[in-house]
Amino acid sequence: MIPPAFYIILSLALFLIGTLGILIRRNLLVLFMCIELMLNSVNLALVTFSRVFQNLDGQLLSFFVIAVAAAEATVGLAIILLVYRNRKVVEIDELDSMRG
Amino acid sequence: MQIAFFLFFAIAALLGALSVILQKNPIYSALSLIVVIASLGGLFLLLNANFIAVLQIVIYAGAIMTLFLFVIMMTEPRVELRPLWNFQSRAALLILLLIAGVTIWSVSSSESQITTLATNFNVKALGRMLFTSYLFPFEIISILIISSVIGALYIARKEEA
Repeated sequence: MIPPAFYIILSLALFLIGTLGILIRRNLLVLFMCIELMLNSVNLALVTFSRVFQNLDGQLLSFFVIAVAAAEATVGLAIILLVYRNRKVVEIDELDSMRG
Repeated sequence: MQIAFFLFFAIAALLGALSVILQKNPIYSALSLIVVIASLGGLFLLLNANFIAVLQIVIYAGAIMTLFLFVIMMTEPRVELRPLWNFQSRAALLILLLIAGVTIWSVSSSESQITTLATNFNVKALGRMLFTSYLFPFEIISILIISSVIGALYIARKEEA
């Protein structure tokens, strides 16, 4: 049997890789993918704890996370598309019109 | 056997995640994210979460990533000009490694163990919970998804001349 700590550490590693991606990348779409990566790593932790405590609430919570991620991806990608249509760029370094 | 599957999926997920943030071309990042999602689906199967594993493959790898690939192809991504490995990213890596160290230390000092499987740990019980004690959040989610679809259609519409 694999100890649950392995799953938690894997989930932590995926979450930190996602955070690092958000901090170092400059493309809006890649930033969005990093957010999806972080949501997925949280799902892994939720399902692991659901298994450890023999309780289905964690799995249901990860079901809701997946549903919210789908809604978020729809709206977020529409916004990115709109930004691209107006500014012809998806790199956040060049989207600095709100800088004072 | 289980250990072998776990190692396979875990290493695939980690390499895929690193590839997501290190690829210069966003298309390759999206394809690596599909690898991560598929291997997490395998890990969910190892954890006896069949329903979540199926959702992971169908919704994430099937629907969301298709949407991502469409948008990437519509925005003509270009290769990033700025170097990734500058002072800012080095500082970020250092701080995140610190967080990782603290968390691993606290996780490894706990002593929980996966016990034997309960008999009602299946899709049937999940569905029963979803439509009894979680009925209200479930309906809220449907309203959320409807409103996000309407919002996306409104945001991405063609401006009338």
